[in-house]
Amino acid sequence: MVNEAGASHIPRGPARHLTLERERGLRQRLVARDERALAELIESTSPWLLGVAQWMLGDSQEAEDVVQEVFVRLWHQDLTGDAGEGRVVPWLLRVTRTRCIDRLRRRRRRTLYEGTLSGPGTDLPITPPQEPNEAATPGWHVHRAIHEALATLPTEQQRVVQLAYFMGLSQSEVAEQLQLPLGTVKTRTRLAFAQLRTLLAPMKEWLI
Amino acid sequence: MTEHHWFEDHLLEYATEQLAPEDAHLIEEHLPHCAACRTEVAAIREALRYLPMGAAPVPPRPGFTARVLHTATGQGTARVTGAAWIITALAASTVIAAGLAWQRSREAKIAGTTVTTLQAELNTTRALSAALSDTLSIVRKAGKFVYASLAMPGQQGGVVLFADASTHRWQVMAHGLPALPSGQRYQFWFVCDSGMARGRTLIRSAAGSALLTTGMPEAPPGNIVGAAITIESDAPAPGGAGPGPKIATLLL
Repeated sequence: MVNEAGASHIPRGPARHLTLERERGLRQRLVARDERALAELIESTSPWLLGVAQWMLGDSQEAEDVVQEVFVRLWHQDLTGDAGEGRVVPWLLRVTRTRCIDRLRRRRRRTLYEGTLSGPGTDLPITPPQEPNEAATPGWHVHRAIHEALATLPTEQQRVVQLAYFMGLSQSEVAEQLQLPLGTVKTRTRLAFAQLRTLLAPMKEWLI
Repeated sequence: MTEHHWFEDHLLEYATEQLAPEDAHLIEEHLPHCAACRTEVAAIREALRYLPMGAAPVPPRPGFTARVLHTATGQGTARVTGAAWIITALAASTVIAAGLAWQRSREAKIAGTTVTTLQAELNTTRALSAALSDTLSIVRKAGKFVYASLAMPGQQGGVVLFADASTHRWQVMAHGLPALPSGQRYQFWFVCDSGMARGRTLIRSAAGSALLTTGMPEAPPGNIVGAAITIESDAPAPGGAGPGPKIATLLL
């Protein structure tokens, strides 16, 4: 499970915030095959990538393997495409989550021959604890803003978002787990994401 | 023909990776032909691009950055070294084999060996070079690769699997394998959705690495979804025909 309190134990070197300008610079250096740029990107983003991977997979070792795969893919990616337009961090977050969903789906298939299923068992806490030194945790304000947006959703919509987005369940699986008609799940999902889009879209200059 | 409403109704699920792969494939085929749907998918992803950061950060373990860096760039001595070392060794052995053949041919000339003998040696070298090139081609053409750390306490090794969909062959490279007690061996398995199919034995080198090139089993129990490596005993217990302790699982 994700250790919310663990955020305060991230080793603090000189905390370097990843501004959009610095992100663009890192991308240009990655195109030029500058390994130090990759190292800086790993340092800045890996706590958040490990956070989402560990939350979804419930396994710290597997989470590390996923994040490692994502950075390998980035290094070999054609940076003139989706990941190359100054959007490296969103790309890393999206690909990490997608890789976790792939692994969760395989894990479910594996239950056919192993008869076991492990994974996240509790909900994402919607109200995060206060980080004692928020300024020293690059990206914490984004984390807090997301939870503020999630907290505006009705409880039943929060539950659907948690299962579908943060635990990687398909809508059919969500319906089965919540014992709801599929149509109800689809409606709640659409309402929830419409609200999140409205709340989160204006925040164009988020930084890590 | 799928109605356009169907695409519109499923764009949110597609953009947030909640759609089943077969339905996602339909949308991926549709997007290049529909600017409106492309714009909507981009807008959803743009608005929700930081949503995964709803999960709290997790501090990486010491050495994580160095390990990832080495794996990505193929340098250094961390986890990736196994794979990188093996590839380098394969390439080097090709060069060495060619060099040996040249050296032998020179010696043969000096000794007055017949053309027939030289031709035979050249053919052998060509066959070896072709085999090594073929092995490397799986790595180069792999559509997918998966890495897994060894699930063995105190061990830093791992296994990487390259899957070449065009030839239906896999290249499996392991490193950091500890030596096993006498009478035990590393066993490769195909993981299928209705069971496991036994593959070949992994031969561990003195340096703790192993390399295996394999095709698919002839009659797997269902669809092949990945691979596993276990430790097996040369003398299994009576009735104990199943897999032994699993040290790595790689799911494609």
